[in-house]
Amino acid sequence: MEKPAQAKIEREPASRPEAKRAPEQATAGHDVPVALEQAVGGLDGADTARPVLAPAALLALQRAAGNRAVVARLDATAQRVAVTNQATSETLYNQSSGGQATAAQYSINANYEMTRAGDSGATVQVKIKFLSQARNTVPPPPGGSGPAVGALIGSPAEIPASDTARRDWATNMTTSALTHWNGRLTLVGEEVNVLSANTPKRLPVTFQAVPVWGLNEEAHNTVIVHPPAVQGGSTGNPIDAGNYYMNKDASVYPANDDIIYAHEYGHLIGIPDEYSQSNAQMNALLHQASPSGAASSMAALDRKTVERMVLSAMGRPLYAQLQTTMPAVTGAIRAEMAQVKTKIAQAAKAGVRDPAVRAELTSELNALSEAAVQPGIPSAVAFETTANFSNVTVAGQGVETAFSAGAVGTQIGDAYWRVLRAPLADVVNVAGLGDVKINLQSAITSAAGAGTPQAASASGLATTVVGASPAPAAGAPPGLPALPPPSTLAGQIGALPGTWSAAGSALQTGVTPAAFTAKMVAALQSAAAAAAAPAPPGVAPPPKIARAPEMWRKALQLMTGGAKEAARQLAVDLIATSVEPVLTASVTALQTGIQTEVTRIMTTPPATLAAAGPPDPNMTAMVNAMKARLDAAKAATAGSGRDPLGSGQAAPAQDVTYSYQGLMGSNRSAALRADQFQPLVAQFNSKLKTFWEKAFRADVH
Amino acid sequence: MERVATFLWRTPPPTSVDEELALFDEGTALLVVRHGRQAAPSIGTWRAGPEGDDLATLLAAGPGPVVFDLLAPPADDALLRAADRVAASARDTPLAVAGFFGQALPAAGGPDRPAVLQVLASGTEAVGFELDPGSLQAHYLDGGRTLSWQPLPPPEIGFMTPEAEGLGGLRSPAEVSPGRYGAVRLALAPPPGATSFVIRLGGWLRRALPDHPMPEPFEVRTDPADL
Repeated sequence: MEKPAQAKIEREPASRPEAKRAPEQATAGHDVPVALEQAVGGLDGADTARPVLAPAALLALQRAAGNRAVVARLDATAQRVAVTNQATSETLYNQSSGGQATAAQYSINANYEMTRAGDSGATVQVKIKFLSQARNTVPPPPGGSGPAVGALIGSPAEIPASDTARRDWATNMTTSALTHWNGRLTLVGEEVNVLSANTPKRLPVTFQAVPVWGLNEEAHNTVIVHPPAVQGGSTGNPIDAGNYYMNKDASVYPANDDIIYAHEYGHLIGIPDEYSQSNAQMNALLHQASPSGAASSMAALDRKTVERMVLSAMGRPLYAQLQTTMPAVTGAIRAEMAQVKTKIAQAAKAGVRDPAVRAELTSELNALSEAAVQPGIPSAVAFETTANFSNVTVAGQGVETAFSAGAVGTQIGDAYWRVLRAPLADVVNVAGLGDVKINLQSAITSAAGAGTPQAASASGLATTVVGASPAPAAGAPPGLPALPPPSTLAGQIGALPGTWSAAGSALQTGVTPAAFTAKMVAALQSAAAAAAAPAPPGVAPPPKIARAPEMWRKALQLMTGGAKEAARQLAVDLIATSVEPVLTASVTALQTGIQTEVTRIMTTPPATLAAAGPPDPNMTAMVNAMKARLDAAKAATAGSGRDPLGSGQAAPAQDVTYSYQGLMGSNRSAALRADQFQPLVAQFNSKLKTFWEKAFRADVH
Repeated sequence: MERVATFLWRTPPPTSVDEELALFDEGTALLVVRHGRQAAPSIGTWRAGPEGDDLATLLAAGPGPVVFDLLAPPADDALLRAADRVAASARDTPLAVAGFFGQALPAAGGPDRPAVLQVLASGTEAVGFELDPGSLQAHYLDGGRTLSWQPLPPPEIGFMTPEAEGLGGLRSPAEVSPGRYGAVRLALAPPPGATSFVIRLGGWLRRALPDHPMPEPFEVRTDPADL
């Protein structure tokens, strides 16, 4: 897994908001739906206002004095409008029931002021009232009732003026969050000239946030700023549009603060979330983002969705099939145990004499012993790392443990399950939109289980991919079952140990004295640390070694145990290093096969499809079954748009949801798109565009 | 035994609570915690024997899975309350549980501060888990405030007991029997002013339920330990 320099992103989406504020928490800044102020000479200069020319007068001015006169007139003009209570409803499929995603409706009100400074630019300003209030962090007791985890409790209060740290943080955070908005949006338009070419115009938009601290002060929105003692990301404290945290768990929210709060600022100016979307919502989003390419992009996303559905549904059958072949696979691996023991014994013999091992053993014995016995430690170390060290014995014990049939089967089975699941988290690049994550619900994971209509097809396909041990011939002597054919996954894994004797193999390159030394030192360190550290609750700490014989026994114990574990870990690593690439290649090949069949079925005309004949009827059946599920979901939600619940339409449960990865989606990048600003641009065109100007559009950099 | 009902407590990422209550036909309920809603740094399986109205309520809601979103609990929460009662009673009876602890060791004079990540098993059966070697992180605190965090290098070896017996857990599952404990030594680099630390780790919990032996992701955050 690729790991960013500063943060590990394992789960999707580690930094997205979890909860929306209830509508009543969004403070309406103004009662007047839209107020238009026109001032001349400054943004605050209502007192210097001069008469505003009516459109007819402007037309007359243009005809009489030319366009320049009109432009000059308008250039000196700053206009400010309040955009208030622009209710933004959104439907998110972020709930779950019966293995499917279910929908919930959320809303926040966009409240802001937009100012135009002639032809030099525009400004969007949000006044944010920062307050203090606690959230509930304790689940309601069993049988009881109370506020939900994460609900605001008590009453909001002002952040004291003396709490400069909190006030400064809020101010700085909103400023830094705005760096992701400023310089990104330009309004592009043109002014119509009657007698000459139109004048192009580009108005860069500046986004501002103005902090307000008074409990009863007017503001566009209210945000709770939680003090350092409350950690964002802890239980009941998710970051959202109404709750900012000075102290956040950086591994829960790997994105920088400025990215996180830039997302929340987007809500304050009315841009909805773009994660946990149904297929119909994604279709609407694609049409909003890229109308001309939406159809082909959605078709591609649908194909990728069906591919992921098939892979997810095949997970359990494939895992189960590998289990049936495990006796043959583990038998083949265990058959090569002798050469592994020999190689590890050689590595142990040289590796244990490394000065690092001796130094570590000496250090650990000193730490575990009373001063009186410490003078004898060098002798004990010398003896235990040379004359008394049996490399063959410890290597044999370590390898026997790692290569037991149960251990090998568990290691390979677990690794296969993880490799099967890993591609399901990969994002998909959707043309015209950007990166999207496909979220599969548990109904799909179990869609091909026993008793389902797809069980037989899935089992057949799993047998093709993984293989099945052939039945023993009549009269054959008892023994391990034979390996499946080499074209199958089980056959390929079973063949791996046969390569270990070759130069450059995992055994030859991975099992070295240096590797043994590293494992041995780590084993000694951890064992000694386990003894030296304060014991976990309920465990009595061992006393320090007070007598020489105990010290010698401890030296033997550490050396024997450490070396055995080093040998076991080397053997485990050998299996992992050998097997995991084969597992990955098999899953990659399966994905390719699924992709080919999905493309064939979803892009081939029916007549041609019938004539071509299926390459694998089980694969075809699985693809058709998953496609049918997706088609049913699409049909049930067709035309319901971005916000079905807000528009009074049905929002049936979904097997699959989607999350855009940009700033307003899962927030894993700072990507913005022009279409996201359409409501804001519409406000500008409605209230701040002049008579002579064509409608402006958003240009996002 | 056959599973007859499943209940899940979840929160969306980033908090990602992941608890599962599975009810089986012979009356046993198993609670699996992979990412707990409580702060306790434990994962594994606990057992309960629901009876009476609670059992009837849970059976009636089967097979599910029924998902309880802790950030948006259902308005009619009779089922949630019944499931919560059974889950709460299960927490008294660990079946195969691993608890994780961080402990600092005395400074050794080098640039790093030695520490251990300990695991202690409890219950009546061995708990199976595997570390994600890239998941280890140290978070440094001053009081309750996080100062910084540090990704820790993947360990070379799994958990070791004080008697130098390997418990595994790295690239292969650890199977830790009840009462046993082991440790992995870590090297911390706390920033100036740090007074305590927590270890955040992830991995895969396996065999948590009899009908689902496959490994599933877990995540744990140890309690703060003094530096």
